[in-house]
Amino acid sequence: MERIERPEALAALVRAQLQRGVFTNQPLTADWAAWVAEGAAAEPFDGGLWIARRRGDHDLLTFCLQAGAAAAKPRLERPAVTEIAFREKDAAAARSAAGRLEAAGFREVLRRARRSRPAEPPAGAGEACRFPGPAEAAAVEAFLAAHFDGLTGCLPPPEALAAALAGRQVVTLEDGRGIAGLLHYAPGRGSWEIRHLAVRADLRGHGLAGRLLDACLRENGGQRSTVWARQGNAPAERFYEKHGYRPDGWQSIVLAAGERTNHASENH
Amino acid sequence: MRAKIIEILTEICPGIDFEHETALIDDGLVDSLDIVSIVTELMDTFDVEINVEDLQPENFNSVDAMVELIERAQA
Repeated sequence: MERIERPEALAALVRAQLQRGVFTNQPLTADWAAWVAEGAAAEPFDGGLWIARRRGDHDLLTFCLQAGAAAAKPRLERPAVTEIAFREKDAAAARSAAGRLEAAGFREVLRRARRSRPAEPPAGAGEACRFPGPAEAAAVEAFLAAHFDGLTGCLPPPEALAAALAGRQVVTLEDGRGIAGLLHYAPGRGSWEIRHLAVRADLRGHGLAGRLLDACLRENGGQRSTVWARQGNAPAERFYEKHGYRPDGWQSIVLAAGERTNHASENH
Repeated sequence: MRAKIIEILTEICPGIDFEHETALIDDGLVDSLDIVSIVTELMDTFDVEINVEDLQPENFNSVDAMVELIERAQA
């Protein structure tokens, strides 16, 4: 992978891949300057392109893969993860891309399905929930690290977490031991997305997750919202179903390459 | 041009009222994978280069926005 120093260089690499039949998980509306600032690297190959962004102890990869091309194994210095999101109409193309990545040394780690909740007010008031500020980043980061896998849990990098805290995008419930439950979301155009929702193990089953969700729904005026939940995570699926989140047809395949020494089960 | 764009969009995303929709991206009717297909088809059909900088949601929220995008690219 070669470090990219200029946003226009990164944009040009992606632009060169926009040929008919290309499959990509690269967001075309990416903030190239931000990607370069956080240390993006790229590796073009015959038939495609890899782009890597650093995330803690691993890399988050996006790729472009031309029609019929084999994926080249990226030159990785650290473990890496990539996620292929698709709707049913693109399932064949997505599975073809995943198969080509597996042939290049990636392994499927998990699958997710997205659920959507239409715009409507929350059922509850989100009692006792609060929105921690940037000064509490360490505690929030520690809670996230304790409850979500470092490789597949999409943990926000420090700058993104600081911005989320400043933007009231993290809501918590607390007790004498600190954070008891936490919901982190990302605002979007017309809807917002739950990124992390977890309750400390000793307090599960007492409605804390529901209160966090209600607080978030109130914060966002009952606006439409989405969540990606790991397929087969029955408790999470039941929770979201109960709170009005229905499968909307989007699914994803998460693949990883390289080895990590520690794994925690993903919360959702 | 407008009719041709609607034809392309309908082939990529059937079942959407492209004639009248003005929030294709904002309402999630057209997703990021669709944008890739739409952009490559538009560039092929109208023989234009679309800058990556123009790959913003505003330029794909409606057929009118895509018409303007292509006309700018042709200029």
